[in-house]
Amino acid sequence: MELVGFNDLQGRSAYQPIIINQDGREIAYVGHHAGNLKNPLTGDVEPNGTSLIDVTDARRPSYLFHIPGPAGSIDAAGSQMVRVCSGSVLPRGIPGKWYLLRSHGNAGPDEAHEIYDVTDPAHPSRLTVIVDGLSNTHKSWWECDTGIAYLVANKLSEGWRQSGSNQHLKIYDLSDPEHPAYIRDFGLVGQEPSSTGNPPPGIHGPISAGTGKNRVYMPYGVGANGVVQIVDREKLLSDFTDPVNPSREEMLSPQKGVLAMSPDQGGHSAFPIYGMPIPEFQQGFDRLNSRDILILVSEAGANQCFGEGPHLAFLLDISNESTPWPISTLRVPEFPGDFCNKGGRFGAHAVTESFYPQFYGKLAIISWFNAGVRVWDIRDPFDPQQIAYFIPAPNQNTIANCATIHEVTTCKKAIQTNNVEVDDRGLVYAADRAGTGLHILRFTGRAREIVEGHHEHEDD
Amino acid sequence: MSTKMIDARIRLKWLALAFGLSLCSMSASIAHASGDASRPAKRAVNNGAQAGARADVRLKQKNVAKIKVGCSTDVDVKSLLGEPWRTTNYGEAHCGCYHHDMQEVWEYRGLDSSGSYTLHIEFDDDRLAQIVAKIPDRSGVAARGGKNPGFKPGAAQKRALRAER
Repeated sequence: MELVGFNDLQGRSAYQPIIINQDGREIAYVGHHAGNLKNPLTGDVEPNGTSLIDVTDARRPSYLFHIPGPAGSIDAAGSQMVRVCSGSVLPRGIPGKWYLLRSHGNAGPDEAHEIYDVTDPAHPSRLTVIVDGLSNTHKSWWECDTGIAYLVANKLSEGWRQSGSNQHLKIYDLSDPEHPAYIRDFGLVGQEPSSTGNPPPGIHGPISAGTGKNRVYMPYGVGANGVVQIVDREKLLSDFTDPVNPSREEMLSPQKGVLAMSPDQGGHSAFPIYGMPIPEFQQGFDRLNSRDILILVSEAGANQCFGEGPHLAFLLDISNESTPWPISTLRVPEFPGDFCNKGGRFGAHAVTESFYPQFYGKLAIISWFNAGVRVWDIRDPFDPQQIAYFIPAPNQNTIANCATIHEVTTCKKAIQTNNVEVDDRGLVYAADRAGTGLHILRFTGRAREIVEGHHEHEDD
Repeated sequence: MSTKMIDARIRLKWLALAFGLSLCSMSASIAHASGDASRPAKRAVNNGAQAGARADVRLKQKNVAKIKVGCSTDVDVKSLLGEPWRTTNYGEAHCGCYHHDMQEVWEYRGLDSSGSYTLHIEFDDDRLAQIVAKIPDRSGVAARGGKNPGFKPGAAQKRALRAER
């Protein structure tokens, strides 16, 4: 991989980037962790929120606007998550308009999800607060063709219960972004208000395969005690009587499959790939020679690896949905690289979530904190091969991460690639948790050949 | 539990508190706190960054030395050093997420005879400064070897470490 362009994101700690082809312009939307920093465009110190960058010319990205996050105490603020839909695709959107869905605050007393009109990305304006009074938010999903939004949230007064990350789903119909319509709350059985005992871990962020596949994939646990759940979308949206207080039976009704992970790994991201042909199983077998695969990623949480084991990514065979089964592991070795001594976190975090055909079923592109962007050829999911990586260099904006190990405190500036995403041109975007900025990358060599469709399996 | 034992416990608690306060009156424990940041910056030290990580002319070493690890609050730090150049909070201390790192970081930019640096201050959940580190741009690393009496894990760290065990 090689660097094409860079933007410093004003030095703000970045969580999630998405890149939208917005009527011919490529616009990057980047959600930020909480913090405060001067916005050079306004001269004001602004709480971290959402950055909008024109990356049409990827070599010279142009920072357009910063939508500030929640003001006041920063200890639970920021606007980490972003999704964008076109009004021309949303069933009741205004054609020609573009809408940004973002979290507003992360884990405080009055967090929210809200929608902005970003038709002119240099002049966004707030349209709607979907829901406020939340105690938690996180990475939501928005189906642009139906408008259904799976918001990660929690409202303490409603009595939902989670261990670990204190959040579940609030599902809304945002087909008309100006008039959100609540549908229901959902999570793992044992999280509903009427449940008892120790509740299961909270969800991190779902991915819906939409009406075509009628499935939603839900990872729970983030970095420990992980669970991944496969859910029937239609039942999820309809098979209940009380949307806020579902019965145990109503919680289980949409569940098609569930897998408890090792306690050392959590469910952070879960991305489906359907109908992958398995190169080794094409000749003599007359069934299961193509498989449905789920890329499941855990999250590393410790600086300098102290107090935890390696966090990994897994390929699951979900062809038999009731029994998801891991078939291979994506890992980055500690050596060479000496990653546990480089500073900050080392381990998996998040997989790309776009369904562009250049990448779909070919590459797994995963952020790996101080090991940067990691790319595997997964065309044979039983035998994935790491074929590319890029570790951006820290700069003067990079925030140090500290660890105290055996009474020695060490602070080091290291890259912390938090999330990675792709655009419809085949470019890769790496956002840095440590404030280094947004790196725009392109593939070279074998990885480029795979993306462009020129590279066949060696055995073919 | 007898009355004597309760009295002894109360006395011990007050002794511990008094000892803690006396520690708070001692000088700060600062990783790599050397050099002189008192002279004004002559130039911007950031190359290519729009935000401009400039050396802060107000960052005086004598004020930095007044920050007491484990004792100084964010209010104290602000009164000593002014508004930070940048604050960051990963927001996971309150979400119950699985993490070990401190959450809130304040940064000031400085310049001394060795070059530009970042003064990095981490606060715990009680808003007390628990790590104060001077990180040179040139190396990007600050370390404090041996015993570090200033460092105490915050409540969130303790919870995470307990969960890990």
